[in-house]
Order: sequence, then C-alpha cells, then structure tokens
Amino acid sequence: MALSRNAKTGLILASIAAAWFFGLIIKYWVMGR
Amino acid sequence: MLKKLMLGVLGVALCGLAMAAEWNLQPAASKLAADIHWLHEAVMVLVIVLFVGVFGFMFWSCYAHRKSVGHPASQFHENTTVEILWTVIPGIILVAIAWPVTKVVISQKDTSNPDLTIKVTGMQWKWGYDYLKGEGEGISFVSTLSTPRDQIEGRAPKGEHYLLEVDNEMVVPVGRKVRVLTTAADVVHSWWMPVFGAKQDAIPGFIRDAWFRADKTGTYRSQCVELCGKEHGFMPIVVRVVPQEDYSKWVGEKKALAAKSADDENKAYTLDQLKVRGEKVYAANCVACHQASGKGVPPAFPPLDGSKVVLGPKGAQIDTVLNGVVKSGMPTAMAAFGKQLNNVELAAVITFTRNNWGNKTGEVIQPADIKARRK
Amino acid sequence: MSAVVDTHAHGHGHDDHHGGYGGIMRWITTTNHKDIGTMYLWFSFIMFMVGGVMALVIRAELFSPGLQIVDPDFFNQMTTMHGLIMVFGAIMPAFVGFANWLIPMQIGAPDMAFARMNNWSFWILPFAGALLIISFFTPGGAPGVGWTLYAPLTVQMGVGMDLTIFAVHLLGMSSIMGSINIVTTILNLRAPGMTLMRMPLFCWTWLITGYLLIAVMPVLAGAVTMTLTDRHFGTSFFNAAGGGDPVLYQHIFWFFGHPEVYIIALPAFGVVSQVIPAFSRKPLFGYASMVYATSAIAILSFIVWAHHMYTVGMPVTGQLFFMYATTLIAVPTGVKVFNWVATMWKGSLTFETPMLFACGFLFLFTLGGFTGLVLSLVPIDIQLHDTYYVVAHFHYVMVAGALFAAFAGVYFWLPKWTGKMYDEKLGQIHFWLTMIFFNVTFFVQHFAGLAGMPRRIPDYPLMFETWNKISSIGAFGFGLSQLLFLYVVLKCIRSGAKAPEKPWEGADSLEWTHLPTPVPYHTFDPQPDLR
Repeated sequence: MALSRNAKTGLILASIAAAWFFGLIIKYWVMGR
Repeated sequence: MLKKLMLGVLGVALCGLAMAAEWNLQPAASKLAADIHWLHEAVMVLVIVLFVGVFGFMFWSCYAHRKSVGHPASQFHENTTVEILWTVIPGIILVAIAWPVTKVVISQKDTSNPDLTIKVTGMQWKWGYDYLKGEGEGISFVSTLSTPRDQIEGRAPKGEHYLLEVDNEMVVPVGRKVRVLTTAADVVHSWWMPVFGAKQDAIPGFIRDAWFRADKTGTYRSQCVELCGKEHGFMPIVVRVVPQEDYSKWVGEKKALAAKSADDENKAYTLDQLKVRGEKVYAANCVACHQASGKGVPPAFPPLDGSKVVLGPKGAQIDTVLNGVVKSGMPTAMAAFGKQLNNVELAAVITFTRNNWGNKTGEVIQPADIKARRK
Repeated sequence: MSAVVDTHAHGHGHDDHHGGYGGIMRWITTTNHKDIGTMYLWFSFIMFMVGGVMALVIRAELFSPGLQIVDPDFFNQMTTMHGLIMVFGAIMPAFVGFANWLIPMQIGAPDMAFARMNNWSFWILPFAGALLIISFFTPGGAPGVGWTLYAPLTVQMGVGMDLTIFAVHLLGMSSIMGSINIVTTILNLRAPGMTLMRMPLFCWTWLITGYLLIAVMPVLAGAVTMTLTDRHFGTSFFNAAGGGDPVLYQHIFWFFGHPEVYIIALPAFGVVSQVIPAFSRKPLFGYASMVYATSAIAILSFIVWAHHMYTVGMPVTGQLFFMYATTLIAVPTGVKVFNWVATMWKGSLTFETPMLFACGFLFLFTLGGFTGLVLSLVPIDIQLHDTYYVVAHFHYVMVAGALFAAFAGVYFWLPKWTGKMYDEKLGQIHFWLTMIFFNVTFFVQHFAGLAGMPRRIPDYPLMFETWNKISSIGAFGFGLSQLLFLYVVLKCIRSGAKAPEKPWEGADSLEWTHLPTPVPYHTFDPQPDLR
C-alpha cells in the first residue's frame, strides 16, 4: 500500500506515542507480577 | 549618588519588612531551620540583584529607545561574545549556590543517632503518635483538631489558635535529636513543622523519616500539608517543646493515664455515662461526615439516624466501627477506628448512636463487648 | 526574502465558500485550519470563563477564615476542576488555536498535513469538557483530589473520578493527534526556500512542543489508566497492601507534569518572539541561540520531574540530582530572557496592546522563573512545598506568562484574522487592569506561603487572613477585567475600523508580508517559491 510522505511521518510519530503508553503500562504490570 | 542612597534605604526597608511576621518564613526554632532562613535570604538577594539588573536594562530601553522620542531602530541581531558570557556566567552563579545548599540537603537527611524516635501516622483526618524509642517509649495517642465546629461554621467567635489546636499535643524535650518516622493509614498526608525545618510525606504502607532538634522551648503549630480529602485543612500538628525535667514528668503522667484507661475497660458503665462520653467522642471523630444531626451527607456519608446498621444487631455495627469500610481493597474515609480509639471510647460512641436522634434501642454496649470482637 | 505577494483570492470566487456548508454544519465539518483555529480559540475562552468562575468560588470562600459559602468537599472539587479546566481546557487549546491559524501561513503551506484529523482533534474537546462538567452532577460530585490526581486518594472518589479519567484520555488523544499534525506539517509542508532555520520562532517552539506532547501525553494516559484499574479491576499499582507504591503514581504523573509546563510555556515564548521584534522594529536577537535554548529546555524538562517530589522521602542522592538538573534549566531560560531584552535594546519601540502584554510577560514570567529557582533548592522547597508559595509561582509563569502571551497574540493577529482593528484604548485599559489585579491577587500569595499557609485548604488559621483578603479582592478584579477583553474582541469583529494592509510596521513573517489583510479562506495554494 503506497503511503504518502505525510502518512509515513504521522505513523512514526503515532508509534512513538503508542510505545510510551503501552510500554509504561506493560512495564509496571510485569514488574508487579 | 542620590539613586544609590535611595536604593540603599529601600534595601534596608525591605530587609526590615522581611523580618516582620507573615512576610517571611516562620522564626527558626532549630539550627536547621536557621540555615534554611539564611539560604533563602542569600538566594533572595541574588535574585533581586539579577532582576533589578535585567529589568533595569529593559525599563531603560522602554524609556530611551521609543519611536516617539525619535530613536531609530538598530538592526544588530547577534553578538557571540555577549551570548557566551550570559550563558556561562549564570552557569557559574548556579554552581556557586550549589555548594552551600548541598551541605544543608545532606544535613537535613541525616536522621542517624536520634535521642528519641516517634512514629507519626497520618489518618483521615488526624495524627497518631507512637513513641517508639528513647524516654517515653510506649506512649501512644491520637491527636485531633480541638477547635469546635461552632467556630468553624461562624456560630462562635474564633479563638487565638483557631485550626491550630489539638486535644493531645506531641511533647518533646528541648535540645534532643528527635527522629520522626512517618506513615499513613489511608492516603498520602504530610507532616510539617516549619519552625524546625522538617517536612515529610506520610505514605500509606511505607515508612519515611525526618529529624529535628528543637533549640528553644515553646509550643509550635502547623498543619497537614498534602491534600488528603475533605478535612485536609482540619488536621493540625502541635509540638510542645519542654525542658528535660518537664518532659520526664509528662512521660510519667502519660503512662499512668494509659494504665488507668486499661483498668476502666473492665468496668461496666450505665447508659447515661456512655451516652455522655459517647457524645464527646462523636463530636471529635464522627461529626464531620455523619453530621451533628446524624443525617450524614448521602451517598458519600450515610445517615446514622434510622440506619439499619445502627438499629440492627450490635455485632455488625461494632465490626464496622472497629475495622472501617474498605472498597476495592482500599480504605475509605470510614477509618478503622479500632486503631484510634480505646474500647471505652468505642463502646460509648456506639451506645450514643444507638440512643440518640430518632434511634431509641435502649441498648448498652460495654467495653467488654468491643474487646470481644477485636481480632 | 523574495516578495511574491498573493494579493488576490485565486480568482475562483466560489472557492471562498466554506466547504459548501453554511451555518452550524460548516463548523462541524470544516477541515480548514483557520476555522479550526478559530474554534479552538473560542472554546479556550469559554473554558477560561468556566475555570475562572471556579477560581472565584475558591477565592470567595477564602476571603475570611471559617466556612461560609461551600463545604470542604465541594471546595476540593472546585480546586480540582479549576486546575484541570484551565490547564487542559483553556491554556493548551488556546495555543493550539494559534498553531492552527499561524503555522500553515508562516511556512507557506495551504493547510495542515492532516486536515480531517484536525477537525477531530478539535471536536473531541467539547465532549471532554462536557464530561468534566457532568462529573459535578454524579453522586459524590466531581473528584476532590487536586488536578494532580494523586493516588490513593483517587481510589476513594465516586464515579465522577471515572468520568474525569475518561475526559483526560480524550484530552490526551486530542493533543496527541494535534501534535502529530503540527510536527508533520512543519517537517513536510514548508514552502520551497522556507528552511527550518528561516522559520519564525513561533513555528520552532511548536515543532519542539509537538515532540514533547507526543512523548508525555501517553504517560499521563498511562497514569490515569492505572488509576482506573486500581479503582475497578483489582490491580495494585499504587496500593501498598497489594505490593504497589503510591509514590509510583507521582513519578509517572510528574514525568508528564514537568514537560507539560514547558508544553504550555514554549508556544507562549514563540508568540512573544514574534511580537517583541515587530514592535521593536528590529530582528529577534540571537535567532539560532533561541532555537538551541528552546531545545535545551525541552530536553532538560525530561530529567527534572522529581523536583515536585522532594518531600516523598527519596534518598539524598536523588534530591541532589534533581536539584542540580532543575537549576540547569535556568541557563537556557535566562538566555531567552536576555535575548528578548536585547531585541528591544536600541530598537524603535512603540507600545500598542500586543507589546504591552509581551512586556508584561517578560517582566512577570521572569519573576515567576526566579521563584522557581528558589523552589528548586531542596532545603528551601522543604519549607515551601505544598504551600501558597508554589501556587503563586505557577500562576506567575502560567497566567502572567502563558496567558499574557496569549493575549498579546490575540491582539497582534486579530487584524490579520478579521481585517479589522480592535479598539486600542480599550485594549490598553484591559492590559493595565489585568496587570494590576493579577499582581494584587498573586503577589501576596508568596507571603502567605512563606508564612506557612498550606495549599488546597478551604479554611485557614487567623494569621493568614490579611493576605487572603487582598488576594480575593484582586481575583474578583482580575476576573471582571476579562469581560472587557470579550467586549474588545466582539467589538472588533462586529464593528472594528478597517485594518490597513500592514497594521504593524515591524511585523515580518509570511502572513504579514505575503498575504492580504484579512487573509482569504484559502491561502498559499499553490505554495509560493521563497528561494
């Protein structure tokens, strides 16, 4: 699927946000087990 | 010349003002607090000098570089030397501040070798004090706001120590290092004595510590300093610093009182005795949520007048008062009063609720009943 | 800078019709950055009024010792909601409004990179705001935990807490989508010749702020999600009895919370960096240093969070590290302040309303910055943490700082947006009233804090009475003065004098030099060649 340049930039930024959110919760959940 | 003189006078006036009450930190009653005073004054001088310097330039510019007086606009927009200087010089100033401040930080954290260790427990909404080690070991009491509700609600004139008075003060000897261990029973509170320079959050499930060494006798007052719910503003801290002999006397009195109260738990009381005592216990512990009318503030704080729990079997009510109400594994504002009140007080307040307002059970709950249900 | 002036609206008259809809549907379906910017700004002003009323309830209760007007529980709800609404509903959306209006015009782009997502970013906000307001009407009311939502107090709250958590999630999503949009637009849509180091500083501050938002809003979302699961799904992230730690919440929250204050401040710096050079008729001093200083502030903002937590009982090494890191931020911030003063120095200054607010910002934000330096020092903070000194500090940097910058920006760009001039005399009166009443309200709070008055209390010991009375009087004056602002804006929109093509002699970014006044609905389509 061809992505526009904008879409690529946007996806990179969105994955940074997602990584922070899920990473945080998973880290502390795993630590607490 | 005149400008310098005026600035000098202004400086002296400001310093005088700074020493006045309510403009500055409370007067120090310990060396640590005095060190903090000094640090604060030094930083304030630095800050004022910088502020006057920078804004001297800005105000001068606002005056002399106006278009309306015909000042033409220069177009310079860079100057590497100046930019390096005003990056490096503030950096040096900060490093210079860091050293004296670091010394005080380290000293403030050093709780080793105390003469007296007291555990402070923050609860919604009062403090518990347990003298753990040193002279007075074993003394244990709860310290609750003693300002009457009437004063708070504007029906009586406010006393001198409005909101800063308690029924049982924390008493310590002058000149001795006191280590304060803090913890909490429910949510985060914070114990603070500004005159000693000691503040420590009280965190449920954890123990932290701070220390102070009072160098002056006197009665010092402060408040809880971390939002802990409805009555956060109503749980003061009062520390009375006394000479060594007076401290020993106080220790003796407190221990005798504890022994006497244990005795009293085995007596059987009349309905009237319990109701009278119970009303006082209710006013100090229950009225904020369940209200003087017993109608509560539903749904957060249920009514006691006409309550099924209060009018039902005594076991259920005793358990609720002893153990508090827990939701989702966390304590609620209905604390476990079994940890704060003795069996006589608990028997009295439960008897009071069962025989007040519209409740007329005629039942008498004795301290022995409470003791039997404690786990 | 080549001057290709886009003086006509591409000759296609019907393109100026807004997406084909009229009335309310226009606003609901618009993907136009100007419309969306306008909606953000109006929403922000409404939230400012709502949050302001809550502040007045607080200050009315605090006028005298004793409980006269509200009960302590409701007071805590007011404090909490005042904070949440002002931070997330008023000040942040205001600067996103500026970003939407200005960034495409300042870089020569026709619109934002993701124009449809832009619409969603805005429309989530009224829903989130409604959730916050509705929480007041649930059993138990709105949460009374402070805008910082500390655990485990949050676990004791009623269903209003869950509505608030949901609102925070929505607000976070709006911010994250908005920032992705802004960063992508700035990176990818600059007109040829508009290099990064040629962009107005306002665009730089938003580029950096966008990255900060993407990094930390998810962390806030994590913190409130963990609170939600502790409340309802049996987890014990913040509950010691289950193996967790209340202080963990504070770490996670402040990891978001500290960059958050720079998220608020940096766009304000950006606005001021446009206004001061314009009214000094002189270029911004040290453009490159300003870019580096802003970046340094943003990077440093990630390693200082625990200066909000000096009293939790962290080891002394922790306190020292965070203290040193925090004092370091004073260096790049100082550089910026010096650069603004140097911009004014030997310029040709005039003091129309935008410049008044920018100068007010410079003066008072710096004052707030100095009290921040005082607070950064651990032993002093031990005495001042959770007292009114902190309340004074953050109101100086966020109100006299960010809000004044926002006022400066509105007055500055109103002619460009509307084609009309606001009433200069009334604007100046608004400035002076705001300036005076702001200081009456908040300067005395420094003294209350030093004297020992804790935060978040509805009633207080007698020795704090004088400061509280003065502060409350100031607050009412400050609040009423903002009604004058509303009047000035409405009067300008409805009946302002026609603005000249270049209302501000010294303004030199693309929206001033390449676009007519007022700007057409669609601009820079096709993009200009600025090489």
